[in-house]
Amino acid sequence: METSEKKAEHGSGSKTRSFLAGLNAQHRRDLFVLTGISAGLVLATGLSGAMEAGLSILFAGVIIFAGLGVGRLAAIRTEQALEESEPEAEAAAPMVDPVENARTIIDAFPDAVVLLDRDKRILDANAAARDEFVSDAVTGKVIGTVFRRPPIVEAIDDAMAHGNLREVEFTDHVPVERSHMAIVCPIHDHQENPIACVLMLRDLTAIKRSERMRADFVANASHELRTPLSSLAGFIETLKGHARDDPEAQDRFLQIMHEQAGRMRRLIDDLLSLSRIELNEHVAPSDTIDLASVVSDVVDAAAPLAETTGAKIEVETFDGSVHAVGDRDELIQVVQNLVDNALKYGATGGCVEIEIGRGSPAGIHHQTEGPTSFVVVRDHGVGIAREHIPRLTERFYRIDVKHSRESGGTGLGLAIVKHIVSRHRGRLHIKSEENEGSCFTVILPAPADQGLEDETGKVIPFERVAN
Amino acid sequence: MTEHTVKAYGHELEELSTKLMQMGGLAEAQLAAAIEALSKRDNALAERTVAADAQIDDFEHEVEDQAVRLLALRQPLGSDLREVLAAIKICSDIERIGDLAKNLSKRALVLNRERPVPLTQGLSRMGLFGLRLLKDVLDAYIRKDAALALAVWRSDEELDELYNSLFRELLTYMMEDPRTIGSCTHLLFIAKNLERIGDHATNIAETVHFMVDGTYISDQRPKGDVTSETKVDYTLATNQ
Repeated sequence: METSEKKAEHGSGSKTRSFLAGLNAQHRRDLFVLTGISAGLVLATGLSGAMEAGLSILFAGVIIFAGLGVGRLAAIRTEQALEESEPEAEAAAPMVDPVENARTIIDAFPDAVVLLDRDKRILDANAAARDEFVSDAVTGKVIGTVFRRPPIVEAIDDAMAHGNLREVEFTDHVPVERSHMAIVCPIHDHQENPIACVLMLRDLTAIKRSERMRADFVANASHELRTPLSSLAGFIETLKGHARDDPEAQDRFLQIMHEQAGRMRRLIDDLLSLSRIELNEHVAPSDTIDLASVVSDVVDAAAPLAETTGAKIEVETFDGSVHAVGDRDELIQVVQNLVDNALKYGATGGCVEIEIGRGSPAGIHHQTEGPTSFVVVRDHGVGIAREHIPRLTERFYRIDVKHSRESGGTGLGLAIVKHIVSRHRGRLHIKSEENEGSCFTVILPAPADQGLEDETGKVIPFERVAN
Repeated sequence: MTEHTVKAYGHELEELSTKLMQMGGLAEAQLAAAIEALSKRDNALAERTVAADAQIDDFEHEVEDQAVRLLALRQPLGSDLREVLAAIKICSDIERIGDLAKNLSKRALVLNRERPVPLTQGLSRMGLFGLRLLKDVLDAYIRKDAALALAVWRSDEELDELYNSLFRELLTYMMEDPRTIGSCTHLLFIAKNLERIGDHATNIAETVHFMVDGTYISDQRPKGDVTSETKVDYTLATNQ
């Protein structure tokens, strides 16, 4: 281009200025708004990946608007800055063709972008758009013939006729269901007439999917809460009615009500601790704690439950201290949930084994950069069928709903374990054979000075410390 | 496309195909909406779909008018003539697809007043398959892709097979529980309509093939719909 050649000797700063000066005010604003939207969307997508379902949608909205705002602000500022230097710049630089500029800009976009001319023909499409929406074979065709979504065709017509920026959401059902946001942004010539138009397509499929997951979660949680609540309400009714003068029935009903209220409380406790853990999940704990004391605390607490099922808890300790970098209360919760499960699903009268050690247990290859410690909780009960294992840590996922409810499970125990372990940057291994029993292994990062030597001064390898 | 000496002529031909594709896009949207109204039991969407069918009819008239004007004023020859003829044929197929989608929505409105029937899920799968055929065949038209048209023409058989199995399933269902006969009859018609949509897509595929190559598809047309000969034994079905 003539302009850039002329300006090359003036250095990059003045080149940018002349480029900007070449665009008229409206066109400049459009570009910035477009950049703003895209920056907002990029941020939103990043965040939504990191955050859990629900909030991300809201954030996406807010950030897109913030993006728009920033875009506009930037546009206004640049205009102000340009106004000062404008007379000189304007005189030196001939007009730049806005469409040619747009062509170079869209190639730099990660989203699918299609550039259309005045007659709505496809002028150019960037790589992302060519992959998904418009093949090379259709360059020069009218967009409506290739990209046949009536609301978008209408939005493009509107943008070209009235110069409006339009946003349209649409869902394709075939070949696979996908949702996109289409942003139609007109490009104006130096007389403010729309002469071309940019169609940008942002993939919303992942956001929509997480939206659905959130809805499912809310539905599940309310269902879990409603069941004990309706039983409570029912018994209250009975107590006020014909059980009014029957002390024996009253005792029985109050006992059931007590249990149901307990179930609700457990569920709410679990939901709260899950959300608390999620809130801190990105901050790894830094305290050093003694795993042996964690285990002995859990064993003491689990003693009454073990007594009712007649199970024995055996602890296999490591001679020497076993430390982990972690949050004591959270790790107690992890071991407790695992031991509770083992007691509930290990056969009655069976034996639950807890083992702690340095490195990682035999049979599990754990690639790490630093020293680790591990806790293994093993039972010899019914075991878990292979197809259930990948889904075990999903919220409210239960293999046997009836058994889980009867034994006071909330369906959240392993979800909590998973989130705590992930906050600790550790790993959870599940191994199970039907009718043989299950083995849950938690591998946690250990403090840097552990694993170098044991109490006798012998060097111990990270990988495995013999039983 | 080869350049025409008279620029306006080339422009008119292109305008014809643009209009036709706009009409096709509407039909796609209508069919997708009808399927959604059916599977999600969405009455408002079904009503909107019924109302929007008039738009497709308007497009049909416009395309026909334009095609006739082209024939009369430009007297096209060779590939141009095939293109104009194809537009006339395709637009009547698309119009029929629009009508069928409208009918689906009307039946969805009736079904939504009844208890949900589990088989509507199978129907929406069938509908999506039909939608895919329609999308592919319209893409084949605009890209002048005879191979893609042939692929659509072949895969209609799969849709027919889906229809056959659904037909038998519905018959069995009605025998087991006569209270569902009302709903199931509507479902049968819906399945038949979807199967018809597949047939229209096949017709369009034949037309596209002719338009691009100038030859007719020479294979035997796959005929997968055998329901006209299907009979489900009453005792067999009820004992299942």
